[in-house]
Amino acid sequence: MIHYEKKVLSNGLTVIVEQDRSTTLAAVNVLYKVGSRNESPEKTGFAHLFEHLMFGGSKHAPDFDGPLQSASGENNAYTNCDYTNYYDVVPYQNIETALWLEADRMSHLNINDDTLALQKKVVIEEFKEVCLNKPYGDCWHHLSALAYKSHPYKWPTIGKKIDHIQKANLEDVRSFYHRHYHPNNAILSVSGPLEPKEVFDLVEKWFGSLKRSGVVHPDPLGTEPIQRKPQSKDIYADVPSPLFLMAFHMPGRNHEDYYACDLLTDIMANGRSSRFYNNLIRKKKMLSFIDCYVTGTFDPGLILIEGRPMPDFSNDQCIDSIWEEIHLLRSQKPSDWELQKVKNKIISSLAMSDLNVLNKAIAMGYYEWLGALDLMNHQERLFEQVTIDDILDAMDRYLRKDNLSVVKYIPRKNKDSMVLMVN
Amino acid sequence: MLKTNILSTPPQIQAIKDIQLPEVETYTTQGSIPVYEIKKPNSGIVMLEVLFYAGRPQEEKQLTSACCAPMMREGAGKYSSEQLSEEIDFRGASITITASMDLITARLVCLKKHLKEMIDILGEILSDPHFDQAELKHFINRRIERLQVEMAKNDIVSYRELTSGIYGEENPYGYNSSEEKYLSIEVLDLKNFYCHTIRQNNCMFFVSGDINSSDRDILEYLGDKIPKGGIRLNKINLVDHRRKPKRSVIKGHTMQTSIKIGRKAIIRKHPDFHKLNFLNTLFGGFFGSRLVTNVREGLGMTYGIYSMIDSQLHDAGLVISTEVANPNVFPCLTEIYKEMDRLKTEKVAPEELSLVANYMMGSYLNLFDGPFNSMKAIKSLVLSDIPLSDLRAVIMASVSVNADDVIEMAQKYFNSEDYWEVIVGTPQI
Repeated sequence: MIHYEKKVLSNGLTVIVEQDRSTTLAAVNVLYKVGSRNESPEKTGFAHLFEHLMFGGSKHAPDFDGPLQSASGENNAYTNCDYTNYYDVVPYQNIETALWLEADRMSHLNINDDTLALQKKVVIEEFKEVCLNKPYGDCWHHLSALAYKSHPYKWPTIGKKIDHIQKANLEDVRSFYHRHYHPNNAILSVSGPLEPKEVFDLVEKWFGSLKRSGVVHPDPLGTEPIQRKPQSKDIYADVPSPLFLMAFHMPGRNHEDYYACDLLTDIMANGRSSRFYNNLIRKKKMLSFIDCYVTGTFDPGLILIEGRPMPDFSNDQCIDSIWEEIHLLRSQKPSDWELQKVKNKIISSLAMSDLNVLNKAIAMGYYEWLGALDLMNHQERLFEQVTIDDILDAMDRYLRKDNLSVVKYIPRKNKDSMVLMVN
Repeated sequence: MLKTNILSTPPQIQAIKDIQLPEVETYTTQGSIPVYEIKKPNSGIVMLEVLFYAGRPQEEKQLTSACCAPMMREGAGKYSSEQLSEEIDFRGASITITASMDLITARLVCLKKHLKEMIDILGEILSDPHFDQAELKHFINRRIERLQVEMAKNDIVSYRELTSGIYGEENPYGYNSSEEKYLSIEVLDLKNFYCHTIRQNNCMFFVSGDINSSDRDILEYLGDKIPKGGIRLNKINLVDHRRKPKRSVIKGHTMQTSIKIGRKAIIRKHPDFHKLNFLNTLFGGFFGSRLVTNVREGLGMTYGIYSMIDSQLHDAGLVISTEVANPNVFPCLTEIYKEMDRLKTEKVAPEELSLVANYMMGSYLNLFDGPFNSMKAIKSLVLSDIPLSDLRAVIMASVSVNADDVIEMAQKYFNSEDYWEVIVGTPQI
């Protein structure tokens, strides 16, 4: 249970504070309501590139990391399709250093050709390292493009192609900054040993003078049409083994079916006692790896099943067996024990995530962004309320062949790509 | 008159001079197992780690430890593999048995209310693993499949090649897994290894979280379940296969090239360790380090570059690692050595020394935040045979390194002729 207090500054900045007396650390989290879904199809990867630029220094703090490290702090950031999140963990005595740095880059970011040119190079290397130079690293590129036809979720956060990052120019950067980076598009959350009143005063001190922006940021482009028939894509690639991804459309994070879908994926394939693990890995020995999860995005998302066949099996054999398992689960129905088991797993993982200030600050920002801050403290109840019938309904609604997109990796024949050349 | 912007005056930074260290209670069970305890009452969660000196140095046959540990969870006592998973998952708990280079660690994390039942299950796993033939065959087949996938990654291939260079291909820390080695593992190997290593006298308990004195009975019970006898296997003699370093170039994925260079380093107990650790942090151990500042933030050559002391209990390596565009391979190597040379010749400025010290103090604050984190630090001290009463002194020494120490360490450890170089990818000259 997180006991928080919330205020909105006159410039529109939402501030949420929780006091935790058991620690000497304070976590400061700043969430901006902008992700890759706010990008234009011709300029993808921009939200993430911009996240890198946010570390390039600002007017009064030309070096972001230096002061924070001198204050014995640590910091990082991440971008996804829905939002961009920055966080700092500092000794509570130095919380003002974090607030000052965040306020300055919210209002006075240094934007110049040099930083842009440099971070484009870094991000292009990141693109290659994460997506292109690892087996299956580009799976999300293929899958999102297949599953989504119109919604911006059809490209991954890192960007559709390197070319888009290469082409980003200073004008794009400036307009993106003005459009999305201002107090009324941000949520600041703090967890630490300080009194909430003191934190609110400090936030007012550092952020109070920032100007509210008049810009109304755009809604995501396009509504996704309903999928009417199964779709599939074969990828012939230099990969060591076949691999498949099955994706079913499901509603967004705030939809009431979210909880049933999440538990359904756990029943199917979370952990070594799940159905798919028992039947497809342990008994039939046809898969080496199986995972199943929901994307949990704001706009309608996906239920994903990902598997890697053992050497004597093909993607298609495994996918057929997964359908058999789905039909079996539907006809047998999950048992009470099975449903309670996955609920118990979620409840204990929720209990564990409540233990440190950074997790709590991030959670407060996230649930506020969802528009349901109080839900944060009721997750347990919402999972507990799901019934077997809810799970069956979710299966009927979403685990349908006409709602399925499959990506299959098929190894190309040139093996022995790793050869010792020189000694 | 213009109103001055509040942002133009940065807040005062307060230097962190001291760290609140956790209270660690130590005692031994009736069976003489040392217990280390950090309490966090009312947190509702308990973590127990049972450590055995049962890693690669204790093996008679390569890969035995790595197979023995996970196989202990594939059926034990009255439970089949499937039943074990079912019982553990139903309580939202986790029990993992993992092998690192030096240890087998059984880790239980559960809600306090399930502690007793979980200890009972853990007791079965530690006292009576089945090591079933069919389960082993399946396990090995999956490991081989996974190995093939791992071998398709440049950075995995480069790490394997580098460590076999630094330590020697037959050394416990230097050998690599292979399909043949996996296939040679038999049930008897696991049973022998288990009988040799999973013993009361070769074991330690680290317990943290919502635990109190009344729970000691449960730990006594678990200690008693572990087979009696054995000896403490923490003293070993490693043969030093020192050879002349060389450069290997291996063809790999073409979009980028993985570079790893490295040499032998020193273990935690060595008198130089804290100084070398400081140098390593300054050189490539955090985002403000020389390597990141120059190679990533200055030249944009890479997304990530770091150096680390790869510490094992009986030996260690100093490893520098990055992935770069193919034309940048040799320019990047030049930059790495250039940064090493600067540290050998130019005194580090006081501001940079204090930046590193402050950053390190911050990491200690994080390290000692909460019982589970704190226990990691305590474990590493215990395993290195450093008395817990020295903890504060160890921390203070680690951040009180001066410019002369840094030069001394750099001159000792930053000589390019001592470095193995591994390049995996498609480097362009």
